[in-house]
Amino acid sequence: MFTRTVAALVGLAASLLLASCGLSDDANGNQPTTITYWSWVSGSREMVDRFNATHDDIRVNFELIPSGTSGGYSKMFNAVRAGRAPDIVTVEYPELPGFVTQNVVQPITRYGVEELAGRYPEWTWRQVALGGEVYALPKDIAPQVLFYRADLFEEYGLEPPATWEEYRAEAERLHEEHPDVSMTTFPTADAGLLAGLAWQAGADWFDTSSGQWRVDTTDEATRRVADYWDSLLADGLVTAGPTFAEQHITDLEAGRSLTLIAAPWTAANLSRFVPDLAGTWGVAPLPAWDLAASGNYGGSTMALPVGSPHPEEAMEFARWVSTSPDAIAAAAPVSTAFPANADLADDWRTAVEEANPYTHGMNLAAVAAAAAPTIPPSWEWGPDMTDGFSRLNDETTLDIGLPGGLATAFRDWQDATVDQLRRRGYDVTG
Amino acid sequence: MSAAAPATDATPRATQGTAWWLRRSTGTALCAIAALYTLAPLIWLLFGVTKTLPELYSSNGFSPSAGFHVFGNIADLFRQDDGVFARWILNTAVYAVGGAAVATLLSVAAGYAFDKFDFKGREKWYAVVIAGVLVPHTAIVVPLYLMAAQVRMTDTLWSVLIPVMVNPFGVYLARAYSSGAVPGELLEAARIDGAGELRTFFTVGLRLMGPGALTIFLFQFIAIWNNFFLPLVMLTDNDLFTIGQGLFTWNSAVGQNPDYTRLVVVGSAVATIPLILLFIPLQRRWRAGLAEGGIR
Repeated sequence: MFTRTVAALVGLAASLLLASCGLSDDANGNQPTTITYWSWVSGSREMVDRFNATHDDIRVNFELIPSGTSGGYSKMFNAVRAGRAPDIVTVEYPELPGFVTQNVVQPITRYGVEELAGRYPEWTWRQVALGGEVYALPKDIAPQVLFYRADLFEEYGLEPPATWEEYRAEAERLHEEHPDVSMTTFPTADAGLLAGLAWQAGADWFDTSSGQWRVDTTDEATRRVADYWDSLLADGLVTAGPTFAEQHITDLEAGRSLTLIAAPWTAANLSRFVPDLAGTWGVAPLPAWDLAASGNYGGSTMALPVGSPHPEEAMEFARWVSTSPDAIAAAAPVSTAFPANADLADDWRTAVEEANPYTHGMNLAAVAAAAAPTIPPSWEWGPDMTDGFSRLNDETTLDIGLPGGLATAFRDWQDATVDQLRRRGYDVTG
Repeated sequence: MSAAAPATDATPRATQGTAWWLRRSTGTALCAIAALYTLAPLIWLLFGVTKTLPELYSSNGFSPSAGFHVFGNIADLFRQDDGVFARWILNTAVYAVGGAAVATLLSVAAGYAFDKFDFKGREKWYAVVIAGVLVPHTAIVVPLYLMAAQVRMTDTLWSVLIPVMVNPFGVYLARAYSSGAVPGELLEAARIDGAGELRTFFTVGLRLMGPGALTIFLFQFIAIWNNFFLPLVMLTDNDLFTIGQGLFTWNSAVGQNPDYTRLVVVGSAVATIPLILLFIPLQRRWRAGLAEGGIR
């Protein structure tokens, strides 16, 4: 009886094995060129489907990979080293300089992309044009804006603050009149958001203009940001905690956390986390320090890995993603990431408003479009931001909430980063 | 035993006789704690399946949803990304059934040979196999990847299937089982009747080793079903992913699409079903096989 079971299992396995030979069959026809696209960015799959539906000469095969910092980037690195690179990949702005120095991505200047430069905000183009070569086409950007609960702001007699000073004043008043309500939940582990805030304030954490890497997170601008939030936290005016985790979602739902320092993509996330709050959100420019400015908080590019088997076709696809209203319309139902290409801002507004009722009445498109060009263009990223962000998250998780915690975290992070880069053989000045 | 004694006067003596941590009630309590520890995540998962994404974050993990969203959730799971989840289940089943079947056959054959045949250097070869048990699976994944890359085999079904077709621990179990379950006299009889060695193995040895083979099969099946690192390193083609690797990939993209959280919870629950279905009917035989292998 058992033998029969075992024999049956062996037989089953054998037939499955035989059947599976058919599974991995690469029916490579000879007409369209098939290219492989690695990404994890929301809306990519929808863009690929639209591209395939409208193009006959190129077929894009979308592969969902783990998000960059959760293993996607090391996967790309390994694939390039093993000579098995995909045709085109998603790389976020912070990771791009690292991938350039490590020879993971190749220049794309020879595909005539410089003619597109004028379509993107100056800072965006400077993020992809490094050392005289263009290394990626910007797909989306994430100018920081302030999401606020318009309904509760009205109820409590608050106005969207124009400056950080006003933001603090309103937080104080709110704290006095409604002690159980907090102006915002300040994230304890969101390095990208902190970078955006420092960026807005005019900091330059990394600088290569001298020919060496310079790391500086203790400059005046960053200290200003750190001291500001440290004092709000110390006075109990804002709550500290992981964002988009249990407590934060509960607080959002209960109206205990009134604002979010966010970017256009946040709207899609909110529509899923707190669908019941549809119609209650307003979007305002990020409160300013001196002049109206914003920081960048996310976004991604399309880059060509070294060893890409079909670079021409891959670039045609990347160009389509970065310039076509069709691509924007395809992604709108699932993603509210803001296009890097300023020519597409109007298409984006129409498409998102049509596809995503959650955004109605937010004024998101106008605020985002106005914020995008105000982001300071001099900001640069370091040679390993995957590691850098994860270490900054560790530091802030430890320190935020302690007196002077954020300032300590930035200082410790700078020391550790300089140390780390030196050990890897980079030429660094403190 | 202490429970049966009158509580008043016997208590001191009973306490002296058995230390408190040996008493039955303590054992029961410890087992209950262990059971709770083991089952709590599963219970959380079962409640999770009934919830919407906001509820997963804002409601108590051990309370049911206000509505009932099981069917909607499961439908969404199988619809997401063009229904790739069903493909992942099929892949995992192919890897687990195929890999475990071949591994079982090889282990039983090897264990039988080690037990029944006397050949030169037998114990040395056996020691090599046992040494294989000691090498952690994860330690050989990267070398396997590099070897697979050299023969252009990464990102294929075989890159995941071939490495799981051998199981040194199975050889050990099979040898122990063979020496207990297959009497040498029976093999003698088969040989005298004119059966060749292969025929003797397949008609006599293999049949007698059925329960042991089942144990090995289940061990290997579970190991492959839960195997994560090997496919993670070998595969990038989404259509070849295992369930675990697919759920990991989704989970890492929750920053982009928070709804993946819900699908990962539902997907994890669905992924446990085949194992439970496999275990309920087979657990009795498995226990028997384990015990017999263990005695020897």
